[in-house]
Amino acid sequence: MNIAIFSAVVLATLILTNIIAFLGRGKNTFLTYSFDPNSHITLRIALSMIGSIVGGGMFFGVGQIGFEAGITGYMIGISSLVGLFIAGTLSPQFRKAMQEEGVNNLIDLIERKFSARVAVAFSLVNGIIVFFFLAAQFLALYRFATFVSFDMGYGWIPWMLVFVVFVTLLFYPIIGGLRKDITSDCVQVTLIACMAIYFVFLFCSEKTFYTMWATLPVKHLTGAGYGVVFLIGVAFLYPAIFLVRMDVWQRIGAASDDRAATSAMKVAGVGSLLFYILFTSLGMWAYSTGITDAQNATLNIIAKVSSNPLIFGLVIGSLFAAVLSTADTNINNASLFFTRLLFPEQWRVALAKENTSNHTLLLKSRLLGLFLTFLSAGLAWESQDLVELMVGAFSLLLIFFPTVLGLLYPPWKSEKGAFFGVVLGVLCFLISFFTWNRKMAFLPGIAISALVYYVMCFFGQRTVCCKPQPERKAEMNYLISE
Amino acid sequence: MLKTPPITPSSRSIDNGQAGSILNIQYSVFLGVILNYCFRVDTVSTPTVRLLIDIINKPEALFFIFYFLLDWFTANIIQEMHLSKPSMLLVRIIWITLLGTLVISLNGDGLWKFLLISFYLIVSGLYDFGLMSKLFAGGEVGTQAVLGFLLSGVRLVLGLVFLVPTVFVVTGRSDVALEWDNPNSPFDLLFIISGLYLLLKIGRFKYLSSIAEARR
Repeated sequence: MNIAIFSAVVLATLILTNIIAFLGRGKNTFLTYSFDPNSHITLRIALSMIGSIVGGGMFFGVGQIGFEAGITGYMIGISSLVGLFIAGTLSPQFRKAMQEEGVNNLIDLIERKFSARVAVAFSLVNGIIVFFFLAAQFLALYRFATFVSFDMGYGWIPWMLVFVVFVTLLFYPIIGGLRKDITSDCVQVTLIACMAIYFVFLFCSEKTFYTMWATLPVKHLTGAGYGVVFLIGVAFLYPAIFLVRMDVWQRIGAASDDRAATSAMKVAGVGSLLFYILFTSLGMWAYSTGITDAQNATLNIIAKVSSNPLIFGLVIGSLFAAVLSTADTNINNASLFFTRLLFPEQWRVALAKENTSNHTLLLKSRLLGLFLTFLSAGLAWESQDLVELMVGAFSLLLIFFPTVLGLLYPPWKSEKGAFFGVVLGVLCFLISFFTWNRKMAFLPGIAISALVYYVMCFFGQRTVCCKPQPERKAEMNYLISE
Repeated sequence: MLKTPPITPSSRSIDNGQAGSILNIQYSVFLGVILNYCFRVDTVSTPTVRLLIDIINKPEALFFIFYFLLDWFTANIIQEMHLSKPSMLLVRIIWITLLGTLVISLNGDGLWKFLLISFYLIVSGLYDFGLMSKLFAGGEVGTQAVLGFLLSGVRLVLGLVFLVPTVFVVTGRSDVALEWDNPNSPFDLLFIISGLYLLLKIGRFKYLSSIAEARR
């Protein structure tokens, strides 16, 4: 009986998500599928941004951080708050820059500001990062199914539910694109918020939070549970990541106006901080109650305190909503990055004019999304270590480090070095990841990237920018007229 | 017979240059107070100057003396660029007083200094955000703007990190706050974060100087 109630509640949340995602389906063009510019109000953008941050990987990963290192998870939340505040403050300038260059996304802006090759390198690295994040979402689902099936004795039911989630992911993000992604994020974040309110209620009742606070060891409360270097790394690097995230730029561009973009990013910053605090606290609570399994700390504590199948069903339904809200963004972004890499000319034509319905490119992009979804599910099944995937994704960003340094210090700027350094660094990372040590694979990747960059910078010709503007505009006119 | 000139609204308010002079006086007065707390001159037998700061156990106090000096230099740049209104003079004077008190309190053992630090650093970080918004309002998004905002952002994050020991001091778990101020611990966060904050202040000073130079 309990299993039936639990399954019914979880299925109901999934069906609700799908119904809302497909309500009012309008005409879908490649533009609405990919960037949907100037179309959404503040609240929708804010909820969507929170949804793409709060995911299944975060559910487990941040809970694990809370369990192992205590309030270090709060620090990540603070950094994300500041990062989104910066993105919000700069969003009018971001929108203006896109408008002035006649583009509606970050990749094309990079191409205009730097060169086509740097845009290719950017798409390649980010495509792989998003792909790894997507795999982390599938791994969260796998973890959930294993735990509920074996540890809680729910049999095959959790696997069936995970299958339903997977099928859902093959539908609305791939068919509806960004527009449906943003719409469905609203209901998903509402569900997650309901779960959050339930846990806040639990924390407040019977002095749970106070007891946890009083009993946790000092190591969990200083913020340096993973060491000082980790804490400083979070403070210095994490806010900057939000300025180069495609999903952030997508939502800034999709906001109805500058004010909506600014407010939405700031609201999202506050929202994401609250979720970081919540998941970290759950991990800390699990630790203080004597649970020993760090990886499933969040699920363990949920199972321990939610004996009612209705409540447990709602909580797990919210976990699925969290997975869906991040995975749909990752599927959309991964398909776009690889579409840009494989079909750059069609991409330019499709996005150059509004109301252009490029069905061929839309179909190709959807097929790519489908293919990448299956591939990342395979990677999750093969890897089975959430930390490996997260470390892989974040460390790849460091491959851009020499390029960023070159931007800040013009004598070190090398467009060729940036392109070849990034491409060879990524290749080296992928080879090391699949054949050597997965947690250390980023080291040779970064070393090769830096070496190639500085060798080419030293020996090659230092260039400032790509093609001159008139030449670029002529090329665009030619493509549009075609 | 001498006539007193009529008082007009313009003569009652102070201009940018006068505001700068008042700020400089305030900084120099507080520097004197700080130095008085840091050094003692003995003239009983042989004249010697003794450093009163415990550099081994409380190097952060020394960091913040340098910080105070850099704050003085930076305040002059901000004044020169007309980024601060003379009407805000009183608030800035209170702020300098707070910073001076903070520098002095860092040499003590009391844990309430964390409350002072977190308040100062958080408000400074927010002020920095406002300053950057003024500097780059409506302008093109370039490396300089992004760098400026990131600098402010990291300063704000470090300020917010100081809320941790403050919360524990307020809620009665002073063992956590003591761990923050423990020179024998590998996590002597007060020392490490103060050092980083000083480095960021140097970076901010260089950054604002380069912008002021470019605008001259």
